[in-house]
Amino acid sequence: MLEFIAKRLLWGVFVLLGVTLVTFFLMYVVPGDPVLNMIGQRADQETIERLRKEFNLDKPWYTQYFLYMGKILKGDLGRSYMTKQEVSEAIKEFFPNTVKLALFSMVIATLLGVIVGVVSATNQYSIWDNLAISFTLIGVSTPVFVVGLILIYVFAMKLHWLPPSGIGDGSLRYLILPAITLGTRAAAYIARMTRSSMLEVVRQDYIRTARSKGLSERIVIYKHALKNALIPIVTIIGLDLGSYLVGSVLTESIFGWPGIGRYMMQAITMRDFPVIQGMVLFTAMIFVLANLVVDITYGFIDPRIRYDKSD
Amino acid sequence: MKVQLQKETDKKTNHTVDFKASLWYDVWKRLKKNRLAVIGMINVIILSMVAIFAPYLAPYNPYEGDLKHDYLKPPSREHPFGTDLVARDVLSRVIYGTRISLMVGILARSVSLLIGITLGAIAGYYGGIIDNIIMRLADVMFAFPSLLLAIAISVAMGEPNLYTTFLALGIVGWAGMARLVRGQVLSIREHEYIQAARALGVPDFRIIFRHILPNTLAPIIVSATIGIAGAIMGEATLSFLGLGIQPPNPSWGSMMSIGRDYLRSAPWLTIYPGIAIAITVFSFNLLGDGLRDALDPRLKD
Repeated sequence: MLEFIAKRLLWGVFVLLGVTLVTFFLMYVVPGDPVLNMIGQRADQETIERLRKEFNLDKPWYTQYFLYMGKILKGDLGRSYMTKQEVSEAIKEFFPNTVKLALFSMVIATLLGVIVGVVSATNQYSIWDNLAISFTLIGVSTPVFVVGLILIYVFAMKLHWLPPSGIGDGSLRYLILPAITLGTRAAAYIARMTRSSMLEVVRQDYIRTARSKGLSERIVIYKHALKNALIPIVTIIGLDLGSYLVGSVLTESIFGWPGIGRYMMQAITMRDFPVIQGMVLFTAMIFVLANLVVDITYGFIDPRIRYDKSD
Repeated sequence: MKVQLQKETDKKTNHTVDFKASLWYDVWKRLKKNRLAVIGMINVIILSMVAIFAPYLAPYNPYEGDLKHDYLKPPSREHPFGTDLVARDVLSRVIYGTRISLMVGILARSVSLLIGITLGAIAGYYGGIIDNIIMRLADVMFAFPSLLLAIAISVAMGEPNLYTTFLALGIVGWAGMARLVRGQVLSIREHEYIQAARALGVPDFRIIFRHILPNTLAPIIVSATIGIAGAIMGEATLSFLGLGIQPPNPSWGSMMSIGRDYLRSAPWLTIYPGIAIAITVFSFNLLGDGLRDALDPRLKD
């Protein structure tokens, strides 16, 4: 087990290194002079030279990369061209809101997805099953921003049930629409996964044993089948973290939710490159770490994995 | 009846021999039985027709406003989807949007296919250090949520346009394709007919493209179809964020991004392009799922 964890951790470090290389090069190749991007076209030559030295832009790329790495290791993700605010400061300010939204929508997505999946699997080929399959197909096919705008139109503008945007006083009312928007795709995936996982599990011998013992159908499904069907579902929930992070860029900017997604969107609109770079890196890091945690937890839940993944 | 006539029972082995039983005939038969897949296929054909014949189908010019009418007019008989801010017919723009959407979807996927198949085949065929380098690169690509990477690439490419859009989406998709192709090549490489070809001195390039890749076509087709759905969704998202197709080009995503500010007063600006995106992505997903079931019946549930 220890060897497995060590291998995974080492692997994670390697991938994170690769990630920093990619984010470094993406911004390295941005067209235009970074100094001019920063201070505008009308700067005098002397200032340009000074800033170029200050930001080490006069050094070769590998030196720049090592300096960049050094900063990252110290927790410095860069500084905005526009507001001069540190990216890490902004993350501290906005990230809690994103986490709040993501967690809430994860709960909604998981509940909805598992319920739809179980209903669909236990009533295979019925009308409920067909409805559930349609729901998952539509959920997977509709982009986050389409879902969001339709929800705003119906529930905020037509029915006036919920506020269309903002975080307001932080109450639940403001959280519901963005959370549903962010969770729809994940709910569809979870429902799909639950359905196929359940269908596989209910064919197993131990389910037949449970039934022949005379246990009620409810106990067989929820205690025996669902519990075993959960392993792949847990993975899907963990691996889907990326969709929450990306989805938050769209969801937060549509709903004016003050999280890192909206912060990043503002940076994209203003072409604030250091912020974009810092945020892409931050998001990718979280994504890698989450996958790592899922991987290792998985090794605990299901010992077979430890050996399968040794290559 | 026709199928019956083509079948003849082989007396000796007592097997039914289907003379037209090529892989693709089988696939077609299975695909036809899957109602959802047929719906998806018909939709995809209709959408392609709409894209090709857009100039004949669109009632108005999608780029110029109809000055006889008001701007922001709600749907009416003359303008079934209403008109936009500069009195352009929304229906015509949605019809032309099909072109952009399908074109970017297919081009982006072609880029992924080209890079993914080449690198995947090389990695799988040669193995060793080349394999290691390529696949570790793919792993790093997987470390990014794909749309986030597409956003970053398209920002890095400067002024967004059609080319940056499909390139960004295409570059993001190669890693998945490379993994798929590599796995396939690895399993086929060891077959005897490949060893025979190698013994005959057939060049590697020819072995890969003539003998190995044709046998990996099925999963590639499935992945390409489902990938088109993803790329269309990606185009819509990038354009919605202002990083894809730019106005005045009628991309569904950018139409929604403008319409969004008028959601209360002119919801038709947003809702019709939104439905168009959902239907298109939905259709490609249905077709892709159907193809997967038809090409590999073992995977079905």
